[in-house]
Amino acid sequence: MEIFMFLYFSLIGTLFFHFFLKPPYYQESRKELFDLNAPRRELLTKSEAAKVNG
Amino acid sequence: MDSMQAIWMAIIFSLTIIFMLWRPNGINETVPTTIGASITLLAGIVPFTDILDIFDIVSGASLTIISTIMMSIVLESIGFFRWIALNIVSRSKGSGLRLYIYINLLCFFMTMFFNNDGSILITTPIIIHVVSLLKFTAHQKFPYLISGALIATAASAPIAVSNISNLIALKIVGLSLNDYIEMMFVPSMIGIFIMGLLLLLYFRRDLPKEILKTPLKLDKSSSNFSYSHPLDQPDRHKSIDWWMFKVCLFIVILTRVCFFALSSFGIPLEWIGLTGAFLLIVIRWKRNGIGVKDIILKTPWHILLFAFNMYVLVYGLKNVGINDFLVTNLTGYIQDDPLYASFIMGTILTVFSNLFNNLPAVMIGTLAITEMGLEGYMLQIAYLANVMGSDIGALLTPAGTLATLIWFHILKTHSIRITWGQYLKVTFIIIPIALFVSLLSLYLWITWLFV
Repeated sequence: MEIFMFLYFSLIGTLFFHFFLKPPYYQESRKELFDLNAPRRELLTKSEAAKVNG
Repeated sequence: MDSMQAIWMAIIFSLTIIFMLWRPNGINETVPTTIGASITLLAGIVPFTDILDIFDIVSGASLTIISTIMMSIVLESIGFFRWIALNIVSRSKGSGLRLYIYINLLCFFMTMFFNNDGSILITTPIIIHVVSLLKFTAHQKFPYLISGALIATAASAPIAVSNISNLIALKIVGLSLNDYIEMMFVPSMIGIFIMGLLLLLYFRRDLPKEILKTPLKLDKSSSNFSYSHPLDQPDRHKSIDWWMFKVCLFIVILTRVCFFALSSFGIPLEWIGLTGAFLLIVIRWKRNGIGVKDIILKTPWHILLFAFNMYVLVYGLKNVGINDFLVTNLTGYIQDDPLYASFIMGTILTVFSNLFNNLPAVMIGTLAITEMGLEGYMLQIAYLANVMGSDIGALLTPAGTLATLIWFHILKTHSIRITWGQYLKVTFIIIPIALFVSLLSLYLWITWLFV
């Protein structure tokens, strides 16, 4: 029974963290930084990037 | 004991309960119970020599509940609950149904992590905050508020540590926490699930289909994250300390696990609970430099006295022979058949709880079954049916549990008007079905376990 309660509270603790504490920012912030769906042509070429970065 | 003493005791008990539920001028419920218990002791109905025994029975349970309240005070002070309120609005993504499910889950979790009264104290202001910010009408607010309160209170049945009356009854019967879980967890979870489902069906048309979409804006540039919320007051830009949130949640869960793991070794529950609360207080002091002043001021220490008084009154009823009435009339019905034991005790406790609140009701019921001479699992099924009646059946009327009365009080202080009629209209449909399913599940589960 002790092991069952350990597993039970581990499960509801994880669910609680995921659904109530963790903000939905991870995905959004990643999308802002790296838009993986962006068409290839919108990305800078290496030489253009070198110019921008100095 | 003569019949005159029995009449006096019945009058003292009735008046105490009336004043406890009525609370004229907002007096604390401990005041009428202290007067009632003092008269009972002074009249000699309960001898002073029993005081230490009574204190021994109620003190552990009261301190365990007080420790969970201390934990919730620490979490509240670091913005834990406020963050959750804003987070669930964002996570609902504009769906009224999703918000409803999140709120009910939150109420369930809060009772699992703390206790039923604490859960009501924590979640009701959160729900009021959320529905007010989302500009719900009174009609739209009602399903969120009442469902949250019912789920939060009923969720104290699966694990005994979430409800003071369950803990006291546990001590009277001499059942271990792990035995309680083994027999009670499955049937009461089925009952709560059915209750949640019925509430959803009942309110499905009242829930707004769309609500405001309000994403949280997080600024991760500072060392601690800070956030703003479009629905929140514009001048309040709060910082959140992720490390504290994670550590505090971990300690709360660890304390819950330790209740079950360490009580097998004879370590009292209150020691475990108080150690968890102490750890949280120390971590907050080290991290934020906040001392113990708010804990001392906000902790409802009177719970200890309240539980003691209530037990003195119930002990008085027992001493004048009122329990004998139950024992004489019920033993024949419940001693042989577990189905009868489950349904008769569950129904009687439901009636008692709604007549004079579930804390004295469960004490009376538990004392009665200990005197019936029931053996083995018949005693346990009768006791657990008592708990079902006092945790789930007690929700039938607002007088059934202190948590519901606290809920009404919080609504009133926030100028939200919900009448007893509105409450009863919902509970008279939902609660009898949920109780029936819970008691039937209890009978089937325990029969399967033992036979």
